[in-house]
Formats: sequence, structure tokens, C-alpha cells
Amino acid sequence: MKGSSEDGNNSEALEYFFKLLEKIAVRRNLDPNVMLEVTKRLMSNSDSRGLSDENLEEITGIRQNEIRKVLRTLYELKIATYRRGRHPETGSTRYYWTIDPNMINIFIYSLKKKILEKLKKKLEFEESMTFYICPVDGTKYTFEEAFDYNFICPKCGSMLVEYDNSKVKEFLRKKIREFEEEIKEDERKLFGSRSV
Amino acid sequence: MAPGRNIGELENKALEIVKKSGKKGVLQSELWKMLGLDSREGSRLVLRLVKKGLLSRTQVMVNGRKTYRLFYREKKEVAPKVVISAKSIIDIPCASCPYIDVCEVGGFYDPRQCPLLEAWIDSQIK
Repeated sequence: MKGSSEDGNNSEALEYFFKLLEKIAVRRNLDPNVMLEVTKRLMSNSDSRGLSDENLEEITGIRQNEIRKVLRTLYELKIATYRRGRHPETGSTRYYWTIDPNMINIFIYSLKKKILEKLKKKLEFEESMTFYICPVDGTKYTFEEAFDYNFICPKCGSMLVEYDNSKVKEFLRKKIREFEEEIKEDERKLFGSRSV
Repeated sequence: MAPGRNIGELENKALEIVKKSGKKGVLQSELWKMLGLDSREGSRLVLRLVKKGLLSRTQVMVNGRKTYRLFYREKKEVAPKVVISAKSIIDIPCASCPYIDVCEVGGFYDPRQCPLLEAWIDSQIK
């Protein structure tokens, strides 16, 4: 199973993609093994007509409902697509699934862009606010929240102290810069060679 | 030329001939003679193959006549690959967050005060 899906691909990129998928599966209460198995099967499938959930069940031995759950998530993430087709014997409607490596590239690329936005929002917030922290349990409060609590930690009753978030801001700025660079680099890889 | 003759087959034959010629290439005028076509059909065939990106051609003069030398174009493996690495985002909780698309300023999920994001930042600056 390893060979066919990995030839020609950047193996490091592929490895991280699988790691990411595992994490996504866990956060969505899916079985990460099923997620990886289905994805790898679809990626190594050279038939452009795709595989149906039934085919996948036959190959992997995983129950169809498990497979469908994973396929739905892959579709939601825009990693996999399907085409409607007919079952060769019964003629009933079947969905045939495919994964195109380019969709994976776009998926990771757009994920980075989304995360960059979140980090920017976070930095804006950190820059515009004063924070207080409970020295005992380490919970952070904005100035307004701290004011409402009379600068006393609502959990343990200790006095809140001002929190110096310069490290946080510094870190976020650095990360944002790194991401912007990386996204530019990815864009070159994705769209650079094509004369669009 | 006999009607109903399979064009695809002819194209394949032409391709084979050009492919065999390797780096030397084949003169267009020789090619259509080998295939038993007249020059009109021959040049149309070649043009089709050039358009499909299977052949390339350069103009040459042979015996004072303009013709083309044809070369086989190696099929470029344009099969897409996974090239974008998720290495930089793998540890950021947002990357695997199911709510990333609904997470916004003022929303129920808010990047400004997400405990997961906060915890990640804390772990990074320590």
C-alpha cells in the first residue's frame, strides 16, 4: 500500500498531510485509521472513474457506514470528490470517489491562509487590550473582565496582576511573517509554473 | 484515402515512426510517404498531433522546399503531486479544528479568545 501512493509525491509533504488527517479525524470523532486507510486507497487508485463505498468496503473490509462518514468529511474538506454513476449490475445509483493530489495541495494551502487570518485577528486583539492574570491558576482576563471581578480571581480569590503580553505579540508577529512568506512560496509552487 | 479509415490508428502509426526516429526526427514529407498519405492529409495529421502536444516541429529547407522536421515529444509527467507541506500548521489547533470556518470575531467560536489557540501560543513562548 505504501509504494503506489508515494511515488512521485513529496514524501515529507505527504507524511504531514496524513498526520494532519489523523488529527482532523480525532477532533471529529472519526476513527483515524479508517480515515487514513480510505484516503490512501483513494489516492493510490489509478482508475480515474473512482471507487464506490462498496468497492472500498470490499478492499479494506471496513464497514460501509464508517467509510461513508469518512468520505463525507473528506468531501466537506474539499479533499475528495465524487461522481454519480450506476452500479454495473443492479443499475442503482452509486457514488464513485476520487482524490486528486492537487486538491490536497489546495486544501493545505487554503488552510494556511485561514490560520493566518486567525492569527492576525488574535494579534489585533492582543495589541488593543490590557490583560490581567491570576498569579495562582494562570487564568487570563481582559481589563473589562478583571474590572467586573474587582481584580479578584473569581476562582481562587487572589489578586489579579497585570499581564505582560509582549511575548505573545512578538510571537504572533513572527508567526504571521513566517506564514505570509510560506504562503507566497506555496503559491509559486501551485500557480507559478502555469501561465494563468 | 479509403473512407472510414481509423484516424486514431493513423495517428498512432505516425507517432510510432517519429518516436523511433529519436533525436534525429523525421521530415514531414517523408512521414506522409511512409504512411501512404498525400501531402494535404499528411500535414493535417501532423498539425493535429502538434496541437495535441504529442509532436514538436521545426521548419527546415530541403532541396529548396520548406518542410518540417518532426520530433517526438516526451510525455511530460504532469501528474499532480502533493507538494504543499502541512509541517508548519500541524501543531496549531486551528488546523484540525472542525469549527475553523465558523470561527470569527464576535462569533461563538472566536479566534481572539479561543482557549485552544491560547494554550498553543502559551506552549510556544515558554
